[in-house]
Amino acid sequence: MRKQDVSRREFIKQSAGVAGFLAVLASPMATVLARDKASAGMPQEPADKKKRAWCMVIDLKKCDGCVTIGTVPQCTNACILGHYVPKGQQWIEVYEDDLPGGGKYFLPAPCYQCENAPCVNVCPVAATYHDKDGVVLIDHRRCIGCRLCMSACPYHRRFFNWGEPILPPEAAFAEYSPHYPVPAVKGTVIKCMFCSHLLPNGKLPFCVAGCPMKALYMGDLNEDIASNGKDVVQLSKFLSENDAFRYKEELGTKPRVYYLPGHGQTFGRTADDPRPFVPATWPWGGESGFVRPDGIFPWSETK
Amino acid sequence: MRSRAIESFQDRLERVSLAPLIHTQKTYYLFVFLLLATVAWGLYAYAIQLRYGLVTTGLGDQVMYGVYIVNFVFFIGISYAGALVSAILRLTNAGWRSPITRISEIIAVGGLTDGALQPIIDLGHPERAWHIIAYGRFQSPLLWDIIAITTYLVGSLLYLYLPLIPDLALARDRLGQSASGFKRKIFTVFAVGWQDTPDQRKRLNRAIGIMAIMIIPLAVSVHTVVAFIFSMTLRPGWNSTIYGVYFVIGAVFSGTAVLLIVIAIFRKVYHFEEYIKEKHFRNLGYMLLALLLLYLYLTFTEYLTGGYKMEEGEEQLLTLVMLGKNAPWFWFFVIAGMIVPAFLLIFSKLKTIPMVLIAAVLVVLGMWVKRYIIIVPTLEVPLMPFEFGSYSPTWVEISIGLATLAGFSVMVTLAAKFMPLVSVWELKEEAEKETHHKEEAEGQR
Amino acid sequence: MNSKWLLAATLSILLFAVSSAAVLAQEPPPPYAGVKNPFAWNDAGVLSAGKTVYEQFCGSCHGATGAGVSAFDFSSASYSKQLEAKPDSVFWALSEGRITKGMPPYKSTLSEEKRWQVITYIHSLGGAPSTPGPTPAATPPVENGSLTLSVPPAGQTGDPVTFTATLKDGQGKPRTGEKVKFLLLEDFFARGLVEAGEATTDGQGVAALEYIPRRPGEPEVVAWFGKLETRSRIAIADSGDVFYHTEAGIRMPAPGPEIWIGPESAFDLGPQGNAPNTALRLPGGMLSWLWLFVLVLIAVYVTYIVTLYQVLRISTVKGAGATNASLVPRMAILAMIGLGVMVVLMVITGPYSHFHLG
Repeated sequence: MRKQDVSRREFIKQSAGVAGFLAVLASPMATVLARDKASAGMPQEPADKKKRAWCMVIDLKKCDGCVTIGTVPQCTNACILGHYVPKGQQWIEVYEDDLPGGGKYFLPAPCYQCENAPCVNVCPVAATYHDKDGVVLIDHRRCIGCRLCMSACPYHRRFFNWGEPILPPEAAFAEYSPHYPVPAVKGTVIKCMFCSHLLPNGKLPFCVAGCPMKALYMGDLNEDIASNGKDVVQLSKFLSENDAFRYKEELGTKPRVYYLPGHGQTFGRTADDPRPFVPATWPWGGESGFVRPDGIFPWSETK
Repeated sequence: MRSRAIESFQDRLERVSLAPLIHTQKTYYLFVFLLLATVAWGLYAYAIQLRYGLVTTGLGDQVMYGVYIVNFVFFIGISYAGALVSAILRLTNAGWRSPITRISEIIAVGGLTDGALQPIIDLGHPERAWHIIAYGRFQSPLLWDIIAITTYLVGSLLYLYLPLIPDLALARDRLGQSASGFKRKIFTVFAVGWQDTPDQRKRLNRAIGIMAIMIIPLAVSVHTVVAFIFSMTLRPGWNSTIYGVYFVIGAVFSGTAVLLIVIAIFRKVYHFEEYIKEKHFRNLGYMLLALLLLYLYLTFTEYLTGGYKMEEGEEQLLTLVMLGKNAPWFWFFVIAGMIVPAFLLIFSKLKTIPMVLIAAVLVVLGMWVKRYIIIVPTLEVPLMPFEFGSYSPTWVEISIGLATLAGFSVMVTLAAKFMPLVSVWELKEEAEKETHHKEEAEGQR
Repeated sequence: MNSKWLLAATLSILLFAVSSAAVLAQEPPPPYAGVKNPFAWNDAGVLSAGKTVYEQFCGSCHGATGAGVSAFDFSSASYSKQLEAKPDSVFWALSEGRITKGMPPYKSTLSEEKRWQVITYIHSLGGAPSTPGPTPAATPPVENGSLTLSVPPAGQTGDPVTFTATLKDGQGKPRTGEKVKFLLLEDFFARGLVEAGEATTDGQGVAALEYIPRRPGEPEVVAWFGKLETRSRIAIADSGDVFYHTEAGIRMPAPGPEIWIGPESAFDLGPQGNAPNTALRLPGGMLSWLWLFVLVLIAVYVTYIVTLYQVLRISTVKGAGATNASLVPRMAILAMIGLGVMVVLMVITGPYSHFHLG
C-alpha cells in the first residue's frame, strides 16, 4: 500500500505537464483552479502536523445521560454552544435504549467517522471526504444539498440545514472552515466533525471536555492512546479490557467510535432508574430553527 | 396497382393526421392555459422554496426525500412507455405498433425531461448543480444517474426525431400557407430536405434500426441506476438486490399504462379511431397484464425475502407499510393498483376500451403510490433508538408536484401542434404492405 | 477582515468583563445568603459521608484530590480558607450550578444534608498534595525494600524497548514472583500515567517488560510495586512508521498502481480542510477498468453520431433542394460530440476523497 502511495506521488510530480494539459481540456476545472488560488495561503497552521487516526471511546458505564445531575446531556449542550448548532440538530445526541432484561441505558452518538463511510462513498461531488486523520469533513461551499449522504448514513448522524438557520449574531464572526462549519450554511448537510479545529491544538472536543462524568475519551489509534481530559489510557488495552464494541458493527462501516458497555453504574445509576434524560435546548433558533414563510405569501416570515 | 380505396385511405390519413397542426379548437387553448397556469403557480411555489430553502417542504432530517423524488422515479418510469415499448415492438416487427410509436416517443421525452428536473428541484443548492460536472465522482450512484439519464434523453430525442423526418416533410409540403410562417420554418429546417428518394429511405431505415437496438439497453440502464440510488444504501427495504430489475419492470409497467391513457385521449380528441383501433387497446392491455403479473411476482418476492428473515428494520418497515400509518397507501396499491386492474384486464374482452382504460388509470395511480411506499416508509423507520419519522407534503411540494404533472401534459399537448401524432409514412407502408398481400393472395387464387 | 476581528475582540472582552463582574459582585440570593454549615468542619462521620458523595458526583471533574484537570481546584489551602469564610456562596454554586462553566446544579439530586456533607469534605481537601494519575492498587506493602528501574536512554517508535526493574527486600535479597507495574507519564490532552504493562520478577528479582512504543516524545517511565516507585526517562524518536492501517473495501488485484494526475489542491486539503479538487483518475493504472465504461460511453455516442451522419447524408442527397437543410444534423453532431466528451471526462476525472487510507 505504502509502495503504491510513493509511486503515485512520483507519478504526480513527473506528470505536471500532463496535468496542465488536462486542466485546459476540462474547461469546468479551470474556474476551480482559479478559485483555489484565491482561497489558498490561509495562515492558520495547526501546531500538530502528525498523521493521526482520531477515534472516540465512550464509556457507557460512566454515562448516566446526566439524569443523576438532572441537566440536559452536557456533551450535547457543550456541542450546541460550541458550534452554534442550528436548533433541532444534535450533532452528538444521547439516545435512550432498552436493556435486554428491562431498564435503559444511554448511548451518546456523535458522528462515527466511519472508515468505510457510506456517506463519503455516495457523495457525487466530494463535498464530504476523509481528511488524513480519518475525520469525515463536509465542505459547505461544495455541497449541493442532494442529501444522498443522509440517506446512506445508517446511523442518522447527518442533518440538513433546511433553511437559513436562526443563530445568534456572534456566529457571524466565526471564520468558516470545514473543520469548524460555523455559521451553518442553508441548503447543505452538516454533522459532527470531531472538533477537528481543536484537536491539532491539543484541545479536547467540546463534548469530551463538557462531559461532567468524563465518560468520553478522545483517542489516537496510531499512537494507541486516549484521554478523557483527566486520565490517559493505553487505547488498545482499554478497549479490550472493557469489552468495547462499535455500534452496528455488522454493517462493515468500521466506525471510529467505540463503546464500553454499561448503563451509568459508575455513578450509581441503576438499570431500572426511571428518570428520563432532559431534552436538549438551544438558546437560539426561534420556533423551528430556520427562517420560514408564514403561509403562502412571502411578506411575513417566522424567525 | 393501387386500388381507389387505398388512395382515399391515404388521403384521409394525411388529412386527419395533419389536422391538429393547423386547426386549433378553443378548448385546446383553454386546456393549455389551465396547464400553464398550474405550471406558473408551481414556479411561484419554487420561487418561495428557493427563497427560504427546503424548510418550506414537509421534509425533515429523518424523512429527507418526499414528493420530488417520488415524482422523479415516477416520471422517469413513464418515459419507458416510449422508447422501450416502441423499440421492442419495432424490433419484433409488430405491425400494429405504427400508429402508437410517435405518441409513446413523445411520452418518453416528456417524462424524461420532467423526471430529470425533479432531483434538481430537490437540491438544497440548485445553483451548484454544475458541481456535478466539475467535481463529479464516478463512485457516486448519482453520477451514474446523471450520465445514464443524459445519454438516454439524447437517445430518446433522436429516436423521436428520426421517424419524424418524413412526416415533417409531409407537413412542409402539404400544409403550405395554412400553417404559420414560424411553423413552416420549423418543418423545413427539421425535415432536412427529405424528398423520399430510395437512398434517403435506406439511410433513414438504417438510422432507425440502429437506434431501436440502442435504446433498449439504455432504457434498462437508466432505471437500474435510478434504483441504485436507493439500493446502494444500508436502509431496510432499500438494501435489496432486486431493486434494479424491480424498477425496470415497474417502469415499463407504468409507462404502458400512461401510454394507454394518452392514446385514448388523442384518439378521442383528434379522431384517430381509424388508426388507433380496439386492437391496440387489446394488445397493450395484454402487455399490461403480463407486466402486472411480473410486477406482482417481484413485489411478492421482495416483501417475502425481507419479511421471512425479519431483521429489526425490515420488521418495523413491514409493520409500518402493511399495518401502520402507510397501510392505506399500501393496500390501495395492492387492491386498486394490482388486483382490480388484473381482473379488469383478464375480462377485458367484455368491453375492451373502457375496461383497459380504467385498469390503466388505476395502474398509474397505484404505481405512483407504490413509489411513495418505496421511498417514504423506509425513511420513516428509525435507524437509531428513537421515534418513527413522519412526512406530509406542504403546499409548496403539492404545487410543484402538480406543476410537474401539468408540465408533462403541456409537453405532450404542445407536441400535437408541431408534429403529426401518428407516424404517417409508416402507416402508409403498412397499408401498402397489406394491399400487396391482398393482391398477392388474390393473384394466387 | 481587520475591523471584523476588532469588533469580535471588543465584544468578547466586553462580554467577559460584564460576566465576570457580575459573578464577582454577586452575593448569593436570598435562600442561600448567609447560610452556615450545620456540621463541624472536622466531624469524621460527616467527612466520610461527604467523601462518598464526592466520589460519586464530583470526582469525575474535580479529581480525587480536588485538583481536577478541567474544573475548579479545591486542593489549595487558600480555597479552604475562602470556603470557611463564605460557605453560603459555595453552597449556592453547588445547589444552583454554574451552567456556563459546565458545573451542573445539584439541588434536585442531593439533599441539603448531603450537600453540606460534601462541602465539609471539600474543605478537608485543602492543602492535600496533588498527584495526577491513578493511585496504585492495594498490594502487600514492602516495608523497606528497593526498586530500581533501568531503561534504555533512547528508542524509536515501533522498535521494542525493554524496561527492567529490580526488586529487593529490606535485606537486599531479590524478591521472586512479584508483579511490577510499568507506566509511562504521557501528555495527551491531559498529563497522566499510562499503563505499559506488568512483569513478574524472576530469581534475581528482575522484572523485564518488552514494550513497543508508538508515541514519540520523552515520557517518564515509572515502575511501581506497592508503595515503591522509581522513575526514569526515555527519549522515543519518531520513526515515521504508521501503526494503524485503515482499510476500506476489498483490494482487488490491479494491473498497476492507481493513477491520479491533477493540481496540488486535489491531493492536499490544506490547513482549512477544503474539499479536494478534481483530478484525472485511473484506478488500476493505464489498464484501468474504468476504460470499460469509457468505451461503452464512447460507443453509445459514436452510435448517435453515426445515426446523425445518416441524417446528414439524407439532407445532402441530390435533389434535397431546401436551403440550410443540413443545419439540424450538423448542429446535432456538434452537440453530441460535446456531450460525449463531457460525459467521458466526468467518468475519468473526479476528486479523491479517502485521504485517511494508506
